[in-house]
Amino acid sequence: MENKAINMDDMLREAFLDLDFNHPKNEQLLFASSNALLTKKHFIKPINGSNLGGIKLIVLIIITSVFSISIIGLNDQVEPRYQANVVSFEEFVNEEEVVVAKLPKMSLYSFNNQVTPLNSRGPKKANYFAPIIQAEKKEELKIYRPKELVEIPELSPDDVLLNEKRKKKLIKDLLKFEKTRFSEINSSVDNSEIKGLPFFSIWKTELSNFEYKIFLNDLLINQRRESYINARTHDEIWLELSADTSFMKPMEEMYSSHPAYYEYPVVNISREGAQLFCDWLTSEVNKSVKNKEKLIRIRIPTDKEWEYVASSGKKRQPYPWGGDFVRNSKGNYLANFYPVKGNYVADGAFFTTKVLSYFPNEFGVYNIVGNVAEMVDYPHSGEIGAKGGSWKDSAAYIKIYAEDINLGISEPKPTIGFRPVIVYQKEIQFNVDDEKDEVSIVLTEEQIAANNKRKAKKMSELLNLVKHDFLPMSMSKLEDSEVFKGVYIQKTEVSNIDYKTFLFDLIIQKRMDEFHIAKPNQELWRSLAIPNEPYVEFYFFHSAYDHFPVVNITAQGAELYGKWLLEEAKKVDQKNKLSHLKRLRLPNEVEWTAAATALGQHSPYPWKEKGVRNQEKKHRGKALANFKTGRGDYMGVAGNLNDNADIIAPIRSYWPNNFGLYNMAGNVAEMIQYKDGDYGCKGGGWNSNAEQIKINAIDTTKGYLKPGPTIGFRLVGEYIPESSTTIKEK
Amino acid sequence: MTLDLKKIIEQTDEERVKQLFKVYGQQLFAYANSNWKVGEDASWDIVYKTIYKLSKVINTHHFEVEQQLKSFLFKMLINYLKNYLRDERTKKGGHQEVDLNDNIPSSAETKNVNPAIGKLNKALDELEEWQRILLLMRAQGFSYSEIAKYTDKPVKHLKVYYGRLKKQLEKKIMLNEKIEVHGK
Repeated sequence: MENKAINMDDMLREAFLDLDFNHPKNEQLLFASSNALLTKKHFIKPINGSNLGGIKLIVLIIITSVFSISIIGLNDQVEPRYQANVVSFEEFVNEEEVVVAKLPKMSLYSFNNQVTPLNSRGPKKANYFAPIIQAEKKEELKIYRPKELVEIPELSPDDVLLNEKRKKKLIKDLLKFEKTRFSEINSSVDNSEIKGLPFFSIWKTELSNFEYKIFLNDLLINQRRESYINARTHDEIWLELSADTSFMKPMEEMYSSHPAYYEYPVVNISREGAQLFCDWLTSEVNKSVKNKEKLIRIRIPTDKEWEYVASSGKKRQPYPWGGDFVRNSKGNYLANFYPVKGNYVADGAFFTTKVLSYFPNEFGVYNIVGNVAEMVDYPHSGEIGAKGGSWKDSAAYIKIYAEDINLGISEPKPTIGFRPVIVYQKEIQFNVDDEKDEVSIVLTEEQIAANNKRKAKKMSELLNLVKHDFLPMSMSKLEDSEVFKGVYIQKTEVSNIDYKTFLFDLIIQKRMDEFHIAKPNQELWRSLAIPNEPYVEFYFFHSAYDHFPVVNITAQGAELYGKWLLEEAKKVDQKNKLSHLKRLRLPNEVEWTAAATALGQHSPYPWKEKGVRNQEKKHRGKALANFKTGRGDYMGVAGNLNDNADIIAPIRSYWPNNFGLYNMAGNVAEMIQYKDGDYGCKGGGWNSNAEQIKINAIDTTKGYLKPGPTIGFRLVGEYIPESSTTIKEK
Repeated sequence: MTLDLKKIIEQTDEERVKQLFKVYGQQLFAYANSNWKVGEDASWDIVYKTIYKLSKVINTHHFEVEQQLKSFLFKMLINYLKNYLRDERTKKGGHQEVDLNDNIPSSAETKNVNPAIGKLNKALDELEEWQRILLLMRAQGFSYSEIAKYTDKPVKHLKVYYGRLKKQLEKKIMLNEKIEVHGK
């Protein structure tokens, strides 16, 4: 039986011959095999020998003829062996079908004799680089082809399939935030509510030729020819580097197309091309994102972001690897640049090098300085540039905080590449023109519906004042609690989401004057000396910050919010629950201190402990509020986090005081209105120290209150006191 | 390339042969040459024979769809192949000695030269249709993805089925042998 097992395939093959194909049971088999055979060409795997009988013949004829010529000479008597077959071949095979095997473009370039091999330590070195230095001086060498002459390559169907496959892979990696390709930069906030939402992710490497080629091919597939011409790689610029054009010829031909250069950074692309790439990739990726909150945007980084990544978290160091030197203890160079005069190769790379070369920095990012300079935006001045230095710059220019020598250059250069960042798209963007008094955004129908829903929920909460947001002050066991009869105070600070519903509702109702007073000025984040650029975009608008206290608003805005809340609630109030509620306003000093002290205990803080740490057995040693522990110490160090929040914490963090109010001290300072009408704030913010968050601390802002990123508010509800008779009855 | 059936029937013999050769010749040649290990010259011969035969016979048959023509052509090719292979075998093995006393062998007996194949055919008959298609087509070098079109099974399943079915066949053949022995 062993023989049978081995020959089962052969036996089956022979059994096929013995079948009776006229029998109806074999009809399906006949149909399948004949159709499969005769519709597709060259489907069969060759078992022995090759299918290319014809080509074999031609080769044989050539060989035999050459053989006959060379050895026997031109002897007519020698008959070619395959003559008979050749005739039949020519008769039946159409000329179009003869396959001409295309050999890959190969050209061998040898360096001049002057050149020494890379590893040798001979004395000849200088001549190697002579042409490059000359070329910098001559401007006549510049070759710019006009746009009309650009050759647009045509893709074969195989290329199209391959490209689709590669595109899918790239997008899949992006959606997963694949850790081998992208590194997440959590610049500051490490809070449970926004875990998994990095401020931005950045490509670990510079963008490679391979990734850029996917983009270019996709443009061709979708027949976006004009954008292809703008985004293409300008390979001819390599020639400018050298006076001798043959020297740089291979780079021109191969760099952007040959598979050997796939892992090299893409260069010679215009600024427009880089931006086109970002736009293309965002649109492609967001097609397959289902959750709207997770829509992402890919863009060129800002200068601050780039510096933050390069210095691995705002460390004071000239180079990404720390220290003042460009070589490590073993004497190896740590980046690809121009280390020694007249010697580009000392660091192991002549021009650019593979994107995964050298050691990564602490954030796991490769080649952030050197290799190619990376495009950045300067959002403050509106300029463009490229930071980090390139293979052509000396050690002074690859420092992190070095002067940007590529400032204002948008043309393609062989020293400029780019490294995109990934951020989450915010929900809505405000573009308010103060001159025209118009809001340029228009809320979509979905957003209006969502806002109305949120508003209705808020109103229903307000109708049951006691249960949810507000607490009656008289519940506190204060000695003279009758003073506060009918006064309700909010448990938490007002959150972003509540304030957002208010703002959107103003837009929906077209109350623009009030809107301009109430809108938060997020650019105030820039007034602080912290890496704060992301907050400008995200703090108010992104849904991750929904339950954080609202900041950067004026006192008038806060009062407007209270007014609006009461108006809208009374519209919905059918059972006249709120008929006694006179107004919602900012608390005065007496009310605020009374609420903070709660039990009237003898402690400088809202809690019973005299220090700032919890003394209960279970939570001993944990911080009781969000404040600044020491100079420059906003949250402690990893493993020993004091208050676990470097800027603002969510509204319901830490322990409430005995009265049930959260974050009376710390987090954000709360606006109050003094009896003489001045505005001020109490309680201290996240950047106040332990002295400043005491209840009785002096309010320095009295009369001079300005909106800022440390100031929020909470409201107080004022009831018309009930008559004494009704109380007795109860 | 596809054929216009109407055109072909109206054409002269020479044109028809050329046309048929253009469309089907290469595949038929490849099938005979690579799959059945027939030499190049011989396989070209077989292809010519089938095509000439078809062009002669084409008017006597009625084809509505191109598929009918294809299966007819394929059937003829297999017949020619069968004849060729049988002749080869007899050449190699030399002349067969036949007892004159015995009866002349009927056509059914000459069919199965190898008795093992007869058993295999019996075992094959017990299988389902898609299983037979899978086994027989795969043995001839058709790809799984090609076979999947005619069997309504996913490609990955077919790979597994193929291995299992072969083992099943072996077991069945063994069983049949035992039954024969015990039956006697």
